Amino acid sequence: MSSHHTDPNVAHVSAAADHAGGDSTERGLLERAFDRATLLASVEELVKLIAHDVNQPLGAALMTARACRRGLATGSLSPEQVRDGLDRLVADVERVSEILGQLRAATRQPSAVLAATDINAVIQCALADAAPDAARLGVTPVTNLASGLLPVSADPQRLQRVVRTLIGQALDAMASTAENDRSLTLRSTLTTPSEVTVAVEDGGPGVSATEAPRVFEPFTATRRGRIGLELAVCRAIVEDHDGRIWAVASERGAVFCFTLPTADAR
Amino acid sequence: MTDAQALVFVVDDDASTRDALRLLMHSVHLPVQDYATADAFLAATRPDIPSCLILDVRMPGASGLELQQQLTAAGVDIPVIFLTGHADVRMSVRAMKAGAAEFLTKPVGDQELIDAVHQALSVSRQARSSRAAVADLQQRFASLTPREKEVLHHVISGRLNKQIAGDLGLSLVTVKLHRGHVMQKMEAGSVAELVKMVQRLEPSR
Repeated sequence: MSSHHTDPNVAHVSAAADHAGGDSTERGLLERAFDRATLLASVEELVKLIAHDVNQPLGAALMTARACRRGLATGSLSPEQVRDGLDRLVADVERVSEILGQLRAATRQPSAVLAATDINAVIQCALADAAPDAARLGVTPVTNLASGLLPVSADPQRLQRVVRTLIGQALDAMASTAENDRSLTLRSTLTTPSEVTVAVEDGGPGVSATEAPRVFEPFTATRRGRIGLELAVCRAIVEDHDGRIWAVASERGAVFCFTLPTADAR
Repeated sequence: MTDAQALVFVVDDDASTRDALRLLMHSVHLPVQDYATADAFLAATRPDIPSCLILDVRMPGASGLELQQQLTAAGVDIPVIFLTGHADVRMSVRAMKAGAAEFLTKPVGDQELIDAVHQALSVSRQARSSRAAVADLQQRFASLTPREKEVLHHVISGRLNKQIAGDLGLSLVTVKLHRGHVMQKMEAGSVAELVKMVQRLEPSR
């Protein structure tokens, strides 16, 4: 069971095969649960790692600060001892900052290769990748892509991840929607002369006004986010490209939009 | 102003943590001796005064739990306060079973740690004075002659002088004489007191 889940492409193949078999929805849920468990496990490992490295100097700094406060209040520590303590505290806090800096450098995505990118091509690639998932739900994606769009200055790989994630969570949201009501529409438009907007609309239960601003927060377990991390990653990527991302309820379900400045505007 | 009659040992591989612990103990007038490894602590000569040990559970080399076992095996009676970066229930149960005074999770509150240290030092003081009292009793007991020890055992089993004389084939006067020496050497004011003294000696013999 576990071996064919490690490679997402293989998983898609098996999902497509299951589709013919009939129990596709159940199988899809299992796969999703598995993906979620794997992702959560690796996030937990990462958090443990960070906590381990950071807790030591942070704990020492905290204790030093409290000792200094106590020493000053009761006069039990000499000014020299307090000064040495403060030096130590500064060094410890700098160590925390350094560790986080290193971590940031280590986990940074391979530096964005910015290129004049055709956003419609990115959308088509993401759709092709998501086709087996859409087919499993019986959804035929509709595209409404503006022709003659100006290229955006972007890392096409990372942008594709954003679009693919938005499609994925739109499909997830429709898992319990009646098959006739399921729909997926992707649009691209030139909203201003210097800005392109991409919209992914689904026919799912939608997002409430209170939910909408929170869906991009990390670790927010809403109906939409699988573990509350994918959408946070989307926001990080879009903002890296000087764009904006948001979600609103639509007549059919929910629509997730993001903007990108055109290559000329950047 | 420092409490010369107490000492806090710290074993932690992290220099920042050692410095922070030392400063915190100084802020309540407690002197500290710290070591980066369990082995360094074991190798060091330690003054024989009331003391406790603050120990990091996870250290490279001999871990905190191993050091605790080594100390127990070597007969070193020192209250141990464990500090751990992770709330590890299994590990804390093991440590507490092996006689740890406290098991605290980092970041530990300063008052919490200070309270634990004071508590551990008071346990150490009590254990020392109790050990000293027993050693004193042992010395008194050792000063008895074999015959006096014999008489003592008969006395504390509730035998009367006349019975003891018969048991040991001695005259009543001789028994009374031996009995007087026993009470004097053991510094016991009554038979009841003598019984208590011997009871205290028993577990250590």
